[in-house]
Amino acid sequence: MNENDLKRKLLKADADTLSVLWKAHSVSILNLAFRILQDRDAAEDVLMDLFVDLPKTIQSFRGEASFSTWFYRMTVNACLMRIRKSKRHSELEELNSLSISENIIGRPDEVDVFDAKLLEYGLSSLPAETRSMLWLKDAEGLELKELSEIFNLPEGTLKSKLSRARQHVREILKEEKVYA
Amino acid sequence: MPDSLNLNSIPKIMPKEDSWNKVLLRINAERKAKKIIPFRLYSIASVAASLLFVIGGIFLGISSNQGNLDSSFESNENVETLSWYASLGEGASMEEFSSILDEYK
Repeated sequence: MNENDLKRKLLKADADTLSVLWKAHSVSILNLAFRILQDRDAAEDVLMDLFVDLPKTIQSFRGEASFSTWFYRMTVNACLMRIRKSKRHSELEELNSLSISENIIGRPDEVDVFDAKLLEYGLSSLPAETRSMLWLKDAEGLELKELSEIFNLPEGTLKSKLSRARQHVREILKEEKVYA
Repeated sequence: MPDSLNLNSIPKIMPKEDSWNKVLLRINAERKAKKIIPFRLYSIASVAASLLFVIGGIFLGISSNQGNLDSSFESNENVETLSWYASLGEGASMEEFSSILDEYK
C-alpha cells in the first residue's frame, strides 16, 4: 500500500488499515513512549491516543518523510507535551529512577538482567528528549537522517548529542558497577 | 555504529491485550459522534433561524408602529399650523391693536 492510499484509508478511519498499522508499529511506539515517559500506563495512553487520533492527525502527513518517521515524530511530540503538562513529572522521574536502582542492587547475581537494568537506569538519567534520541538510534536502529526529520535538528548536532548521551550512560554504568 | 550502546538488551514491553479493542471502541464512538454532530448543528441552525425570524418580526412591528406615530404627530402639527394661520386677525389681541392705532391717530 503506498502512502497516498494509506492516508486516504486512514482519513476514513478504516479499521483494517488501522489494525495493520497497530501490528506493525504499536510495539515500537509503546517502547519509545515508555522510554520518554518512564511510566507504563502513560505510555499505553499515548499509544492509544495516537491511534485514535490517527484519522485526524494523518492530515498533517505530507509524505516528505516515511510514515514510520512521521509517526515517531508524533509520538515524541505527544510524550513531550504530556511531560510539559504534567506537574508531577520530575517527582515521577525521580521515583522511577529510584525503583530501577533498587532493582539493580537487589539482583546483582543475574548478569544479563543486571546489565539491562543498569542500562535502563543510565538511560533514565538522561533528559527525556535525549533519551528518546538515543533509544531510536541504538534500540530501533534509525538513521541520523530520520532522527534529523523527527527532532528537526541538523545531523551534526544530533551526532554530538548522541555521543555525549552515550558517554553519560557509560559513566553511570561504570559508577554503578563499582558500587555493586 | 561502533560506539553505540546495546539498548536491545533492554527487554521491550508489549501493548496490553485489550488496548487494541479499546482503540477500536473509541474510534467507533468518535464515528458515531461525528454523525450526531451534523444533526445537532442543523437543529441549532433551525432554532437560530426561527429566533431571528421572531426578533425580526418584533423589530419590524415596532418600526412600523413608530412610523404611524410619527405621521400622526405630523398631521397634528399641520392642523395646528393651519388653524393658527386661519385665526390670524381675529380675537382680543387684534382689538387691542386697533385701539392703540386709533389713539395714535
